[in-house]
Amino acid sequence: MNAAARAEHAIDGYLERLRPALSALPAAQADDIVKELRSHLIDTAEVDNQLDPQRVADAIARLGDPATLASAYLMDNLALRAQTTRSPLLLLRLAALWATRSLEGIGALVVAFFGYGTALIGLGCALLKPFTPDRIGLWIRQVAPDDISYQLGRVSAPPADARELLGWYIIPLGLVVGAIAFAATTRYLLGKVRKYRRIRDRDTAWMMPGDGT
Amino acid sequence: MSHGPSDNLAVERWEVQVRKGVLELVVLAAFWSGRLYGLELIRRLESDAKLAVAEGTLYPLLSRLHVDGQLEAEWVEADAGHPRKYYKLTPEGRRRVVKMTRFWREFTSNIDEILAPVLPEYKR
Repeated sequence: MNAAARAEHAIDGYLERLRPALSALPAAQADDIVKELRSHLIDTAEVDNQLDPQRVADAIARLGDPATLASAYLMDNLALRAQTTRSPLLLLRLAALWATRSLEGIGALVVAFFGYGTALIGLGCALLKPFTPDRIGLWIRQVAPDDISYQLGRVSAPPADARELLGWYIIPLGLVVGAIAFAATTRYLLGKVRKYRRIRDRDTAWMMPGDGT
Repeated sequence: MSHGPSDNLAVERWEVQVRKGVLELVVLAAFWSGRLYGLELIRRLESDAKLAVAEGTLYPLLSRLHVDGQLEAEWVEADAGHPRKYYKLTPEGRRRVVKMTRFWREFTSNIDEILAPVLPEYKR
């Protein structure tokens, strides 16, 4: 392999690692980013229409780790789309991405899981109750003289020697609890997104020439 | 000298914050007189504003400003043999950079009063 082919190989390798890390974006947008960075790397590293391997290596190093670069693209794009669509899936994805970067993100992800989990269980119980009334409910069972166990949700068969507590009330209760959990979690996460967008430049890594002396 | 390493560190942190704060203004303003592609913008910022912005910061920022409607983008076939992605200000972006520049001018001229006695030799 000659020098130019080796340099091109290095560019391809870098972009092939970047592309899957961008997969949370719409395909056209991710392809566009890859195409733009390819153009950038070629422009930076070409000398007399020939790619210079050392310049390619330097240019790739300045773009940085593909996962870090991808997350810089994703955070802003997902944040913007999450704000306009209020989609729980986008918000969850954003929280998951954020959790890889900060402690606050881990907190947001935990809240997102529990909040949307509660919403799913509440709404699920309410919606399924009319179809399989015997298998949806909240059961209480005395497992030991001083130990009570609860079981909520959908079961394959009602647990033996357990008492069901809610009956048909599980429908209004599930709807109300589920809706509140859904709305509160979405509201909390959108608040986080707004806050993130206010401080998003905090991680910005840049410097003036002559710095560090 | 009385200042120790922690002083320098505090000042450096503050400088980083200031630069981050003006990054969006500087990038938008660089597009005022016409379209640029990413590498051109990086070179413009270095030569005209003495600002070296990391590529890994600048390209995602361009993408955000594009998605946000401040910049529009188009692919242009170049003599170089590969296409380049050019960005230019949208009308909304133009309005934003005017507002930000107005604020910046007023802000710096206001605090100049207070800064004047600190290093008098810098006075314009």
